[in-house]
Amino acid sequence: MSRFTYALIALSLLVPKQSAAQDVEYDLAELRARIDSLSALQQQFQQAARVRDSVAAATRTEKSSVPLDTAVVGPFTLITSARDREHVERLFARAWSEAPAMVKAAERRLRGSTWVVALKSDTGAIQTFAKQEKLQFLPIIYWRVDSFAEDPVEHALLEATVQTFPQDVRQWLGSVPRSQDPQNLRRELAVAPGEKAQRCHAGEVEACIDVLGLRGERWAVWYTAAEIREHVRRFAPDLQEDFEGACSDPPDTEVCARFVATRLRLAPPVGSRIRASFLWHVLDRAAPSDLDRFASDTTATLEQRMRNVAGDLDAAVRSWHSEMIEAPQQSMPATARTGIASLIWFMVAAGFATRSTRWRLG
Amino acid sequence: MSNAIEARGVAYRAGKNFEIRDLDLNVPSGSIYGFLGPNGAGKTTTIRLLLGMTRAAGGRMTVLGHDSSRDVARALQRTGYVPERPHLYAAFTVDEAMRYHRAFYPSWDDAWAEKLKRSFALPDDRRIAKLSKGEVGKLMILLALAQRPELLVLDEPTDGLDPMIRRDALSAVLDYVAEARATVFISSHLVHELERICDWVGVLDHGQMVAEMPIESFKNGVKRVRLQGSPGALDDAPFAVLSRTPDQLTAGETWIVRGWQDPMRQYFDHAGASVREVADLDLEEVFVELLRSSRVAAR
Amino acid sequence: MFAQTLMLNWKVARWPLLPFVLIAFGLPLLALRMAASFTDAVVFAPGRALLGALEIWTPFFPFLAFLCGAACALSVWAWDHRANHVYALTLPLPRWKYVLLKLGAGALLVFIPAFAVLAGALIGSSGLTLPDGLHAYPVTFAFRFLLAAMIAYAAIFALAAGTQRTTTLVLAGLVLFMIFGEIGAGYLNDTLHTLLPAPFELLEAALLRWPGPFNVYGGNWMLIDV
Repeated sequence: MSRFTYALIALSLLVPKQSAAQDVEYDLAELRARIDSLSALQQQFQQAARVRDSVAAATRTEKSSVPLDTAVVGPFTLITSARDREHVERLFARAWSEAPAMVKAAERRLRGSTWVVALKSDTGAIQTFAKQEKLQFLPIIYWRVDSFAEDPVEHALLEATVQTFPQDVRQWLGSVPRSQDPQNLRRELAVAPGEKAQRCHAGEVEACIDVLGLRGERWAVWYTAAEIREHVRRFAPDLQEDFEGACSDPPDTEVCARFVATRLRLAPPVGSRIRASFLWHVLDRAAPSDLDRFASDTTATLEQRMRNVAGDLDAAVRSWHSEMIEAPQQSMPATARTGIASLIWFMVAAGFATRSTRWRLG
Repeated sequence: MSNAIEARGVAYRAGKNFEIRDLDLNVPSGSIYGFLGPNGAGKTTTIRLLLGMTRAAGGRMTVLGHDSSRDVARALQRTGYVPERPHLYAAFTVDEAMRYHRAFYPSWDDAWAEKLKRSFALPDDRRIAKLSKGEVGKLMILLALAQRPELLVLDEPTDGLDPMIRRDALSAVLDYVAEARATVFISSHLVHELERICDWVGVLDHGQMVAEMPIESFKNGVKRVRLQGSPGALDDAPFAVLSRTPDQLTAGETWIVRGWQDPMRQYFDHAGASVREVADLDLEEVFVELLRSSRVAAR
Repeated sequence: MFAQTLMLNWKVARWPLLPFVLIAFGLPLLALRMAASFTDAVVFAPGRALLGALEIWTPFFPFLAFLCGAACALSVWAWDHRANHVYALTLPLPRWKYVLLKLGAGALLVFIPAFAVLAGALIGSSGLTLPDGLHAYPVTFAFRFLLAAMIAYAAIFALAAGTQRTTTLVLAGLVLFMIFGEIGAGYLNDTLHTLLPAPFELLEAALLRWPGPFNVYGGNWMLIDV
């Protein structure tokens, strides 16, 4: 522990003693918690100082081939080229202001996050700098910085937020999906394999809780024996003998489950996109204090943590399900918008055709 | 007398070598106007300008009282046009071509169209691409006539056709004109053909009008005068000298003059020459002499 | 006038359109039959297998729609171009009216391949047993095809209505814009660190994204969906 930490601890101990003028007994756990929170603060301070020094050093010694500058937006420290600083700051400021509630609620946990951001023209030089300083690198390659660049920035905020969640949540979620197109989510659920997934699609809450993997990666819950056997027959016929050996009993035995997970590599019925959509659905409706608890509680199971933050998990599943099923049907092109737009463009083309007064001979 | 076609100061340019400059044209209503000129004179271009197919660089043109540059569609409603080269859709049959054409002309005469089709012996269901050149020519004239136009514009309508077809085509036109008192504007380089049917004539050469007058004045006013002796310069001649050629054999001269009248013989008595003979020229000879003299004057 | 113009357009466009009409009928039929052959044998994830099998065919339909529209547009002008437009120019109606007559009559012909798609999709989906949650959309699919073909028809018609010189100028202008725009934008972005868009990206955004003229080509071209 550094001298700085000792100083902070001493300060925190001294102040109550001076003000209270009575003996206060400190619980060991409480003291440890306070030290932990101060350590986190110290780490953030050290990180910020390091960033400041590395930027200054890079500029001074021309470590980076382009002059760098920093900006602070919300909890984020951004390093980018001096020329693009304004663009980058504006992008992140807009993304931060429009970020979902669960991202904003993670502000305290996100404090100290540093991104090295490169817009199209300076990607190479800045990427080198980020690698050398071991900082997170965010290239934005879209030319329309103000609109198309929003996607990678929004995604970066989501990713950063997820990084503050406990390990089991991150493992359950997998990769943070880039888009949450409602139509695609609905489609993914409708064609998810297995009878259990179909029951979830039909609206059965318990089936959805199972299929979402909130109770763990349980193959025997997701798929029936016949379904797994069919999968082996179609996609891994060479493992058929081994499968019969491991899963001759019902497939909820440990041996069978291990076989399915490791050798068969059968995917869960729904992937990261569906899981993430449920997670965002629940977290966006939670209070900031609940979100903090969700992020910091490492003892409860995932299902329990979800219940704690959602209040009524069944109701949350029902509302999530109905939102997804009611997602607008995009395969229907006959929306008024598309039809009218096509008609207008048809008339525009007609106008050009009739204006073709260069309609003379010679 | 009003004009069916009028042009004032028309100008047009195409490339470096072809130009129409200051073209004036007057086609009296009810006349058969022969528009003469050698190949490349600009006859077809003039017709295209009149019918709005090409845009003029300057000047004003009216067809049946309608401005060619702004209101040509109304003029075309009352105008039958036969172009120099076939312009119909080759995959149409004769009947299809007639039905298509009829749709655009409320004045179309079905009975007369059928009559013409029979008299021209055109097969109903043969495609235009399979018709002979003469049959295509006849079909184009049929389409132009069957719409009962007030003005017929024919651009070299009998060019390349055999004499029998030429005769059939022209007589159909003349029959119509006699009946309907329509105006005909017919361009050709076949002068002898126009001589028989036209009552007005205009001569175009290198984009400029050389002469425009009733045909009688055209024919009768130009004479070949053979002289005995060689008169000097005649500044005050009462006639226009189109050409003057020495005659080696007789030591005299042969003149082509325009605006000749018999009493003008006396003119030469004072000029040191005498008139041996005055002869009429046919339209073709007049045409050639006119062109020759205009080209000399232009140089 | 319209009837005769339609007859003219029909005569000139029917043979060029025929192969596209046959393909328009056969393609959805083939796609659905092949997708069905996947799902018949699949117990585990029939819906996913069906959608996956159909997805292979999705790029063909917008491409076919474009070709149908373009073929129709080029055909209806073909005879006029061949005859140098003399006949059309001497008809007694203003040029703009003639062009509109031709446009409208040709647009009716574009319905033919769209009906062919509808017929193929209806027949193809009629005998198909779909997994729960999936539905066939032959009518809306054919309607999307019609919209896409119409837009292509109108665009190519407008281009073909001009002279060859105009078309050459437009296309050459486009190519030059792409080439020099790419060079110019790249140079300015590198030297002055601007954020100028590449011409291709500009065109793509302007044409293919909402509310561009070809935005109907994007989106979901699945005959079967949730």
